Amino acid sequence: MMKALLKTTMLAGAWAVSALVFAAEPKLPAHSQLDCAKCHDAALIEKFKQLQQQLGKDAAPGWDRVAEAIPLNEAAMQALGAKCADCHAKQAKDLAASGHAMTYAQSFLNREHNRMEPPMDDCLRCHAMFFDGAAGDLVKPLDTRGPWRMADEKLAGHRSIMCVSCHQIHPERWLSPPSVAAVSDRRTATEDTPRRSETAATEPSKLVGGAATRKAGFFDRREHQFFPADRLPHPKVFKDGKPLKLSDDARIRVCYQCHAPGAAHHAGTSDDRTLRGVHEGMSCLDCHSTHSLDTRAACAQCHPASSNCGLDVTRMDTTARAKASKHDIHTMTCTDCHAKVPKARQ
Amino acid sequence: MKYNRRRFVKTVAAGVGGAFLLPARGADASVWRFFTNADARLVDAITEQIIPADQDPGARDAGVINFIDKQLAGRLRRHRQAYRDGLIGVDETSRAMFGREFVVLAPEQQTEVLKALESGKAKGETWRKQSSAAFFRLIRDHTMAGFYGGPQHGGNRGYASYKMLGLDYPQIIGQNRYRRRS
Repeated sequence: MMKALLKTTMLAGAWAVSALVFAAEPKLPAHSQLDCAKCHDAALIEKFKQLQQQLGKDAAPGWDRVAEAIPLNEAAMQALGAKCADCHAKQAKDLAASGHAMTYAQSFLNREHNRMEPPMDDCLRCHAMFFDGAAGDLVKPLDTRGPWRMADEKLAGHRSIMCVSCHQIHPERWLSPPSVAAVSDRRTATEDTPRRSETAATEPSKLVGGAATRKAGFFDRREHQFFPADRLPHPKVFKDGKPLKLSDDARIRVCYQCHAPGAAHHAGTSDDRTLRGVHEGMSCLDCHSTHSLDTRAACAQCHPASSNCGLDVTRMDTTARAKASKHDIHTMTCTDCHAKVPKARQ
Repeated sequence: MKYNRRRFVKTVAAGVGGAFLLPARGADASVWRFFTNADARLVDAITEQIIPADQDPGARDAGVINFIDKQLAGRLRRHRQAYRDGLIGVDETSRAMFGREFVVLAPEQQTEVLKALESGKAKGETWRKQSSAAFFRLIRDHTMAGFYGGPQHGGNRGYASYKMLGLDYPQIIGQNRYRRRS
């Protein structure tokens, strides 16, 4: 009887311990469940594994450390969007309906733009970040006279902005910088120089924007590297020589990589959309949905509760109501509508 | 020469045995592209003296050794011999001045050795054939390039120098607009 009791107690104890251990185990990231060959070329992966076996674990870089460095060519990148949609259908649908869903033809054959300034390599930074070539391989001629045509008509329908422009597939393996540093770390690691690949990024939980600051980021074409939002620089924008108040939301750093002011960071220059006037200090994401960029319901989030004038702002003549309105929601001030505004509020 | 069965079996056995030996040798070989492990330690120590870590990262933290090694295996391969000879020369000077190799010297002693190299008056057999000052300039310039240059070239790990200088990276900059003046 005692023996049976002891046995049962031991079994229950073992079960409790194992339950605790398994409960403490971190949840695996969703993408780690995917087969690498879903995105990467299966032959390439096989080749790499063979190489790793031949060189031995100490000499070869770890698979996890080079996963990001195994490049997908542009065709594979374009096809990737459909694969993302297998699981992220709503986000893909929203993106497809947004202003970010532009094609190479829409980006590079824009007459109005090209007459003003010629297509150039720098355009690819935001409009064709995964393209395997230079501006001249995409559009011809590279001048302001035109007429412009795609260098290869097959490229016309390619997406300028894809899921991977702002999201990384291996979030659990974010290392900055990736392969070179990882290899370098391994090489320089001695007793005196401990490995430092986990370089200090601000803890995402400590940033405004929370965990999303690691989910979103920007693929920098020049470096061929993905920068999560918490590693991107926070913008500083000036108006009349004075710094504007900007949102602390770290996610706006992603927007600013493309919707950026000119080199001197003056508000309103280049593609800058910095909020000034009555909306100064708000985050882009206070109004814009992340994938659809939709703003239709945004005004009602704050107005009329925080409105000073009690007007139904959704009916006001702003860009939220009509895109052609001269009262741009990004720049509007009280004096745009009110002729007499107390000096303190101007 | 007659190639009988016995000779054939011997040749095959030697070939297979040799093939097994190759990876074993590879395991002991340098993990660097150009440098030996010892050379890498020496270059790492020299570069850390040129840009030492203080409140900001130094050459070692920025992976300058990786930059130099990568470049000597690529575009800067013309400097390979200068490095081979120069590194031997550094240890000759070190031994002549302090009786020990450069990597084991105290930081102040390492500085003294580098000062001797820079002045062109360093002791050592190697420096009879090539200028110690020229080698110092070479490794100093490569250290600077590795520390301040773009990380894609192998150095400036973690954008160490950009962070030190307060440079935003990736830069926040809109379109390069070259509007024609009307």
